[in-house]
Amino acid sequence: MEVEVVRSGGIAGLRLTWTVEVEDQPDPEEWVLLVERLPWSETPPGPPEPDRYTYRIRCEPHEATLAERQVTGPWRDLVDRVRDVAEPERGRPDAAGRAAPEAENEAENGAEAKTGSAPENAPAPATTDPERSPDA
Amino acid sequence: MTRMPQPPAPRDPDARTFARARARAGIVPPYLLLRIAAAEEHYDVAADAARRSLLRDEPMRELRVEGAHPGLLPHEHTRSTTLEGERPGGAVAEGEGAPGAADHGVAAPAPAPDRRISDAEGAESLPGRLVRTEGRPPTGDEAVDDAYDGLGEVWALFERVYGRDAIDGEGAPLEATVHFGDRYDNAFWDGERMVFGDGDGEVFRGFTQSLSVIGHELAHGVTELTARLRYRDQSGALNEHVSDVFGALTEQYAMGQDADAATWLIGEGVFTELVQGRALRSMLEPGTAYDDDVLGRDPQPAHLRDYIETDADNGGVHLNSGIPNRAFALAAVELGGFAWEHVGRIWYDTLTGGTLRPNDGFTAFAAATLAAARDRYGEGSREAAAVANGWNAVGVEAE
Repeated sequence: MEVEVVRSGGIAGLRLTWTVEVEDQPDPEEWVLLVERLPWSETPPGPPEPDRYTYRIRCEPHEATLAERQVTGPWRDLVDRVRDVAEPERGRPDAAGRAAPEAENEAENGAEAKTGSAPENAPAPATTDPERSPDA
Repeated sequence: MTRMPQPPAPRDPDARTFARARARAGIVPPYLLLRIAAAEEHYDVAADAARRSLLRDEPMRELRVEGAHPGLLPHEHTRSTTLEGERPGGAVAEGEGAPGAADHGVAAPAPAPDRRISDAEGAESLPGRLVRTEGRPPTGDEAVDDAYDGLGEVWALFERVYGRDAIDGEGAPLEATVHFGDRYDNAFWDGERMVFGDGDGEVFRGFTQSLSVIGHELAHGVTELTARLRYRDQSGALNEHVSDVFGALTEQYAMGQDADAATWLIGEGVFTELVQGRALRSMLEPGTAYDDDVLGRDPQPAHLRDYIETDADNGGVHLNSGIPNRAFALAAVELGGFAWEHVGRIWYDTLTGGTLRPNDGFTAFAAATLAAARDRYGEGSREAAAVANGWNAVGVEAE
């Protein structure tokens, strides 16, 4: 069983992800108990507070998105626990999904723009904007 | 215990990585301390400017208070007790010849801010203990005093330039809480007050040092009471954008910078020296504010074609704000001079003009700014042209 906490938003717009493999913990029963008594289905969307964090908490088959203000009681216990045992991973927004589509897109556009051109031109930038050349 | 992430694959296994590890353990090598000290001098320019200008104004204020009302305590020196004929600017920075100062009629009582700074003392409860009110001397707590000074600067921009007295336009108190949470890496607007964390000391070194951050938070309050842009997706990115605009303008106004001299950075100085980056965001060059082995690269798009679709961050409100940010900064640079005097005014007109709806996206907002520019400066004005060019450059149709 895996528990994932994703914190996004904040004035910096930086995303942090903590993941805990419950079976690897010294007290898996306590984790299971904690997860099971969370009010997963009782999380109405909170009033948006500009620059405040948003938490997405997931433990299959459950998932809940909470405003920071709603992370209280057992939710807070869980988040604190997760943060205590796991190191956060910093991710760009959609780090998993975005890099690849962007690259594909670039290759696609590059091919469109340079139909029939030499294959070494394949990773050409999607745009003609010189400032946005691809990462070397 | 540390919450520091492991650098995934440090590009340079040199002193920086080493320094990070050392700083985490609380042992900072002396050479790094010196670098941090030097950097602090550099980063604190805005806050220093705020402090300097406040100091500059202090003697005049004391004289006025003592001379006019011998028994009056400074904190009682509010609008209602201000003498007729007195020049505005009692408690906030405003020197002679300061740019953008509006000429108030002598008969009107001079508005003054009403700042209230509270201290959460490391807890996550609000509002915390009230520690400094209007007119009281500095407390010696840097976060408290920076917040107080910063709020004075934001108030000055809105009141002196746009004639808006405080967030509601009617002189309501400007409330802030500092030292929120334990190493809390954030600053936010909770609907009533600005709230500032101290930062973890590893990535963030606090948020009250940055005048643009303080302006950003207060502007959220103004947006909430005016255009009410919904904090999600494009309207949310516009809400963020408006806050960046008035955050940047606060800094420019306080420092007397024209559009060319301005950094166009948001949150300069909030990162520690260990972070490879200048600020949280760059309005002029979104995507270039930082590039760090732990934080990654500034992900902000600078053009509509790179708009980021995401569920996180209320639909990427802190990411896609880069697009309108660049439009604004380009228009300001094209016009030259003081940005708060022209593009800032157009944006303020747009925000308060009553034509925006909460769910409006980039196109509707762009059209509203162009209409506001034409209303104020004329159909064929260079201001209207600059606004249109700005939006055009980021791929947003303004009409």
